[in-house]
Amino acid sequence: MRKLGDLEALVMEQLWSSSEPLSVRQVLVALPDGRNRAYTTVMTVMDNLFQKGFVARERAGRAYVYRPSQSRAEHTAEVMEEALSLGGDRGAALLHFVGQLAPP
Amino acid sequence: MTTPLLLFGIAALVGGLVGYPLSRAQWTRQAPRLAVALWHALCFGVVSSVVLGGMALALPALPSVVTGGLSDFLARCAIALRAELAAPQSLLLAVPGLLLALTTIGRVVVAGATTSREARRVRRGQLDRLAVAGRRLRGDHGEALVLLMDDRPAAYCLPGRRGRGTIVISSGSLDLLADDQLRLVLAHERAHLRQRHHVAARVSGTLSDAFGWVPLFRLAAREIPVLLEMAADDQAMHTTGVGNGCEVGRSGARRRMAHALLTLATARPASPAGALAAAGGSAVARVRRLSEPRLPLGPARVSLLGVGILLALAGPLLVASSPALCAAAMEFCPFAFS
Repeated sequence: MRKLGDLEALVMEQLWSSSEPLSVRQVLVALPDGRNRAYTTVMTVMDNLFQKGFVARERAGRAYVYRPSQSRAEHTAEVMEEALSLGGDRGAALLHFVGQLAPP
Repeated sequence: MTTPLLLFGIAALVGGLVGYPLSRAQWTRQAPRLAVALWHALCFGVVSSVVLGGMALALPALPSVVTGGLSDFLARCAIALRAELAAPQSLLLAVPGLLLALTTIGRVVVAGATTSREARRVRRGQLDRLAVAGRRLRGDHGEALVLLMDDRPAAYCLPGRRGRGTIVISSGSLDLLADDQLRLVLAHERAHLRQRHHVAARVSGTLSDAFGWVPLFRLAAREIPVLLEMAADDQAMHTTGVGNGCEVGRSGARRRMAHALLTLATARPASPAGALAAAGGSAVARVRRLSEPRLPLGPARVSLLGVGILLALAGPLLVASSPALCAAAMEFCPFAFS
């Protein structure tokens, strides 16, 4: 699972740094170590990202082209805001080091 | 009739009253893990008292096929139990008794499953986003460590399976913390993961969700998270002190821990005050605790607490089965057995 997570990060890097939507083959070619990766692996990863809502896709000819649905900063902001708002939740989804004291 | 009354009385007494002095007791700050164990034992005692009380009401009406097929000894116990419990009016209470026992268990199980599911959903979402938005760092101790590029200070862990989880730290935290403070923060989060504090917190959270009107459960849900933070502080100071052969010594470690707490707790910009009031409140208690030298509890008090925990866990069951125990010593028991 960790390897796929790494690949997800690499794929998103490619999509973020591209000014236009990319197909699976374009991403595969642009990946570092791209020649050693299977097309199907990259395709699966990009499909997973689509299922998670991190990328949008549309048909361009026979293949899909993908683009990111949110910027990296937007993702970061969502993670941070969710984590910061779950300070004292009963379910203990996450455990902070310390909460912040309210300003006087 | 006395057994169910006794059990419900115990539940009312412990559930209604014991939480208040316990939440104010100072010894809990010296032995936070023991305190958490006591809170849990008391909560378990209250729930088991109610469930066993309900079952004690229901037992006379249960078909004897339930107790049939047991060994001779147990059969005699069952008969004696029924003799003790089957006063005429108690048969009317059999159905409510059974319902009480079943709905209590059911409510706890459903509340527990709901919070577990929600927590898993949140963690899954966090991990998915962190995989793409965060940068993975190499952790010193094998756990997953992720850096989030954000100015706001944040340091937290996402529990996973088998004590391994993910620690998340923001770049804002790194900017604020000195190296030794950062080591303590990471060690604190590792302690949460290794000791599986999220499970302990979820137990009290579940009871508070299911029966929030019981003072003991409400107070436990308030106190236990703070105690777990203190336990993680202790563990963090212990592991970082031992790990790098530090010359600073124990009081130095406490001072640095307090400093790390204050640095992150008072950093701006502060997040929505209301939501973090609960977590922020622990900062004050923890810094205050760290500014005093560590005084472990003496063996006498620890033993006393151990006895208290055992009583809370086993007491209701002993009370519930006391008629049967009485029947076991048949020569001395007033129940005639012909």
